[in-house]
Amino acid sequence: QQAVTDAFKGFSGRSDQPVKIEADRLDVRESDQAAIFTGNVFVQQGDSTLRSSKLTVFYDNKPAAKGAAPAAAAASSQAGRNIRRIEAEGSVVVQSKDQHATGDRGIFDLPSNTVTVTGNVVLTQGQNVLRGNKLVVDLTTQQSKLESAASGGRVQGVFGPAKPAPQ
Amino acid sequence: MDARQAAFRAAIRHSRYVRLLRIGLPSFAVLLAAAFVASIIIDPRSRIGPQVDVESLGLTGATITMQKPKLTGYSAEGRPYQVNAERAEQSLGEPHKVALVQIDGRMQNRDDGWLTLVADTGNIDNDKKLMDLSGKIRLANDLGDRALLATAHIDFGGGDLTTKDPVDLAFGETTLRADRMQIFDNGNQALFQGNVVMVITPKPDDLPAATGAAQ
Repeated sequence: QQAVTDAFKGFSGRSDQPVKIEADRLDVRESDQAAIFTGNVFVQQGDSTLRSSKLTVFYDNKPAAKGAAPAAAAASSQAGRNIRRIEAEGSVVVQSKDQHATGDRGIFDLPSNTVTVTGNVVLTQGQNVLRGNKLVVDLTTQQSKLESAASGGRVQGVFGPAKPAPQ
Repeated sequence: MDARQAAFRAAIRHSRYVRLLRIGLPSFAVLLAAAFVASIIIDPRSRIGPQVDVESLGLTGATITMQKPKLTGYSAEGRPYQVNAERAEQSLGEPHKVALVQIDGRMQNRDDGWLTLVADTGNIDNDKKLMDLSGKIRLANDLGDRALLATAHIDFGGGDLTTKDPVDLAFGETTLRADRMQIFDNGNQALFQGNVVMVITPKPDDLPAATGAAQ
């Protein structure tokens, strides 16, 4: 029984699998350090996929990890285009195996390793379907929370891994 | 040129592939234009212009043909370069234009690495500050970034760069391909269109829990 978060695990900053992003168009603006994919955006990492009409990747130039040899630090700061946040907009669909979450907007915040899906959120896992306004998934703890405004923002459901997350 | 120089230096954070293309191609264009145009008019061995060695220089009608020109010299910023070509042609009537075949050039990059450029043909118009490259274009630097294009239209006066043919870029651990590309707004904006595919492969040391995997 897969944890709800599996749909998102693929996108966590922790994964070492390549991320593939496909789109009709890509605008890269140096001044605001963003790469904006538009048109049939499809993102895949491992067996997690995301679809949306627009995807903005915000990157910044964090210096290399402390303790890295000077040469490596210089090299990686040159290469240092760490991705800080990814924002998906427009019929966002995140899927992995039998996990399926849709919403108007999805934000992957890599530093905090959390995903927030907002706007007409529908979470499907196998047969059961849950609706809400905001789904917050913590990829580190694998805990996720679905909130619904209709119930005054009360949490609709809290999910954790059925079994301890495989290490 | 200085304002732009400052902009380049200040903009070290520019993403590398934009910078590779935006600096690389126009730099070669400026250098080729200046070198060839100057050399044809002035004695090729003159000290002020670049050193142009040719296997043979022919004049047929109004067209000067240089066989195997070899260009060595220093760019405006004092960076060494060397460009070879199979042939260079120029018409006496239009000395501001030069057509090159089988370009193979190296130029020291701003960050002390080397930029290399290979292309089947290059047509340069020094008045309009335009260079059109075509045929198996490969631009690369020492950091392992490289750009493969089929054609490139370079406005080395304004700094814009467009290609209506597929581009295949690799920079660091990221690859990017698209059917068309434009770099404009002095390199601040790049637009890729048509079947855009970007693949980002995290580097082992990018991951917090790096297991010290061999690089």
